[in-house]
Amino acid sequence: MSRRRVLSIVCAAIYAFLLAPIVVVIIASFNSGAFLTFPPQGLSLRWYSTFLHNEVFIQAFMTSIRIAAVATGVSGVIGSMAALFTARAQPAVANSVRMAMIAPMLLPEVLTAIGLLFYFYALGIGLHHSVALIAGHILLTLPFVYINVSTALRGFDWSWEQAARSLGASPLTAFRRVTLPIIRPGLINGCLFAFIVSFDAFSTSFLLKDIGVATLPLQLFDYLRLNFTPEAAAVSSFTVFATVLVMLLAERLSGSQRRRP
Amino acid sequence: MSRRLLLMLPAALVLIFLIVLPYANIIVISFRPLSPDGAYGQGFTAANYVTVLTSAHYWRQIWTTIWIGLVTTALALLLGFPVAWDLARNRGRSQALRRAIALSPLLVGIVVRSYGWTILLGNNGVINRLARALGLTQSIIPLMYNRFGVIVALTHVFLPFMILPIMGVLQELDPALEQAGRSLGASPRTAFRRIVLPLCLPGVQSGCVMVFILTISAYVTPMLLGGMRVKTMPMTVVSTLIDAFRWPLGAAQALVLSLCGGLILIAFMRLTPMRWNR
Amino acid sequence: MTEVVIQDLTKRYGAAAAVDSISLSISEGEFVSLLGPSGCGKSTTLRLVAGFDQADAGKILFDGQDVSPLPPERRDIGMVFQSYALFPHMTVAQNLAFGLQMRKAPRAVIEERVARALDLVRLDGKADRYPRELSGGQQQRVALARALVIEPRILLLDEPLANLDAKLRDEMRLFIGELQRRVGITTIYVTHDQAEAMNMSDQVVVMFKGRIEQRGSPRDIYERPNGLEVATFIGQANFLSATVTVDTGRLMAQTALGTRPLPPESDASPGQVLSVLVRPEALTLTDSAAPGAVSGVVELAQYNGAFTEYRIRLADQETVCVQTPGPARHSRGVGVGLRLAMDPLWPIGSDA
Repeated sequence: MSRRRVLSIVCAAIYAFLLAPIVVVIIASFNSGAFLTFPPQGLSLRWYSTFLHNEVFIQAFMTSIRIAAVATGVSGVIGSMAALFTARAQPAVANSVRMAMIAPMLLPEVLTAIGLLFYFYALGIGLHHSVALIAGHILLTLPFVYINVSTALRGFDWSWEQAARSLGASPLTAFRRVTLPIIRPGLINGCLFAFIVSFDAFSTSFLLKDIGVATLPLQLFDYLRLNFTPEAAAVSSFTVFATVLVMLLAERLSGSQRRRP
Repeated sequence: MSRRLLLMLPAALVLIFLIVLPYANIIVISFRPLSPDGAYGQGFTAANYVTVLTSAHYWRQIWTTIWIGLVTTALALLLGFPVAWDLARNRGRSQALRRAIALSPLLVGIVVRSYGWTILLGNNGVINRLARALGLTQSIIPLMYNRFGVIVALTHVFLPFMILPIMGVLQELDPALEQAGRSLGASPRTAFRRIVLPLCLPGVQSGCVMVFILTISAYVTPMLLGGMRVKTMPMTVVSTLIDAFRWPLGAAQALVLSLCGGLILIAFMRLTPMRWNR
Repeated sequence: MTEVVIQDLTKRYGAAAAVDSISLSISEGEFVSLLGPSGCGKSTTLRLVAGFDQADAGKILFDGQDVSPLPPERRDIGMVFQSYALFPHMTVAQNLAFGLQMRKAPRAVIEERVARALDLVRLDGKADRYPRELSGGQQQRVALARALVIEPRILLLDEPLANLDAKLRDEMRLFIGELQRRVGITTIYVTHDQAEAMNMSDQVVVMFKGRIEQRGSPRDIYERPNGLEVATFIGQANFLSATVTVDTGRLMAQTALGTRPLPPESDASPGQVLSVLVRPEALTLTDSAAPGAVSGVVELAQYNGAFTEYRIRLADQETVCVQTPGPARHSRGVGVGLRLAMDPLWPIGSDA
């Protein structure tokens, strides 16, 4: 009993450690003073209003959304297809495909970004029209879609598809009516994760962005190097709130159709 | 069969054109000569490697980077294992919440998290103020702009990558195995050490590998928490590429770091007998 | 009503033939079981009939029409899978409606037929449940109803009872048999459980190693197996060595347990040494002193509730298996008498 007690106290401390920096950012964002002081001098939404009127941040925010949406869309399709392939491939083939598909996550992000930077210059495309940026973000997001869809496919019974076929469904209809609804929670989760990862990405964006373009994390980083006002905290908190909101929404979406027990 | 291969085609193209070729290209570029009027010149030379390998300055930075990586990995394992155990074994109402907290660092941008740590660890940060208010100290405790701050923040940032794989193996682990151990006369501690621990080592291994790789290539966190006073290799690489515009040298720096990291990983894999091929 | 004809069907995986040139015809409304150990090719045969696998050679005809080029969805089959394969994201009613929707049936027709099918499998009231909310037996009946509601030409069942516990299995066995006779649909049933095959089928097809070993009524298969393999696979079997003799113009088999006639169709010649099949229930136990009984010693007695199974060692050191109704009356080591029923003995082959 006491052993369990010790474990739960240790875990509580670690959970506190995990939450601490996020919580302080949120608290700081409601500070009414001009400087980051702790505890806050008073509560206000002043810095949220400053942020929402700051054209630079808003523009960066929109850029981040745009890049994340494109990257997630591409990865969503490509990653799901690869997951479907893996689920039915021979074990040896499946294993190597799995390794290859999560490789982008295991390779150092900075190195991959450097590689793409050189590569797109060598191709003569350079850093224009966000091509390199989007390519980088596709690599960042692809493993997340792949892993989540693969997980959703783990309990998948291929006789479901066959049952649909035996009942008169074409391969496409069987996929649309049976396979897709069943992997949907995994797909939604994967895309969600992908979107968040892309939205928060730093190194890749830092090295591959078009000149004069900035995503929100880049803008924030830039700002933090020179300023210490709570506006940065407001921006950060805003993204945290948005993430939580989207997560809850997705939970609703995918939670309504739960997988088999 | 060929129809099914088509499913793999787009992903294969992405991997070939956006991973394999760019990585090959980095190697090529690292052998290019420096050029005063461009990113790199024509022809091939080993000069960049000579520059990196013969410079005590670079070696010091590589050592700093790897040292921080090793300490962070060990710390992440120390903190990650209990959490993974807690998440895998203690179900109940709060499980969803605990899970969300454990994974929260993944869902919050790396810039935001590092920023949070600057608020906590700064000279006028939460911890220092608290210590002074409680009368524990009169002077400023240096928590930031040193290795300590960098390591604390890095541990936090990458902890989920340790928790997830360990939790994965623990969940797959049949509790009956442990019970079987107990039924055969093992104490809880022995059952844990002889049965649970060996079986979850593959998860520990992949967690360590991931955290180590992520740490030695981290850029933002050391930048914000180290404030240029803790110089790690990725910072140097980025400044060589972006500020100095000397691509071949940057490529060589990055590859030497990767090679050193890779050698350490190989040694780690060799030293840990963790093969349960099922 | 559909007649199914399989001609020289072959399916290879690599060099090994999973199904090795089998031919079989199933008449309209017949219930045929494919019975055999795992890996004998019975499931592959079913998948070939369903269209999930392509044969390397041979034909499958439904009412004379070659269905080999047709994909599964155009063969008009009803299939029950071992895992049931109920769509987990659809309710019972939606599962049942799926096949009718594929056939573009009007909504009113779908509703009516789904209701009727649920009634048929006694699941009215469960229409809006999800499969996971049902018991194993209920899931099984949903799977059956889903296959039948589309009124397919043939019904294919792939070990449908394998995942049920013993009691439920007996219940479902009766249920499926009765349902099939009521609907009157041509049915192919794959199983490795001989009791299922014997209970339900009009005809049993025994398969070994990709080939059909024997085809016949359940009684044929049990009483007149055409080889050692079939005889041992179906039920318990004793094999006794016998010498062929002639008595008033009839061929007789002389065994350690007595002399009995051979079946009239036997082509054995006098003096030949044969192996004959004796089922355990053809033997009865008496006291060792009883007249006309052969003596032996009880080596093992296993009580099973309805009957007791004995292993008896005879004087010539051969052992035989005997089943008697009720609890054990003779304990281990005791001498007993054995008596063999007067029925003809079925020869299994010459004793080489």
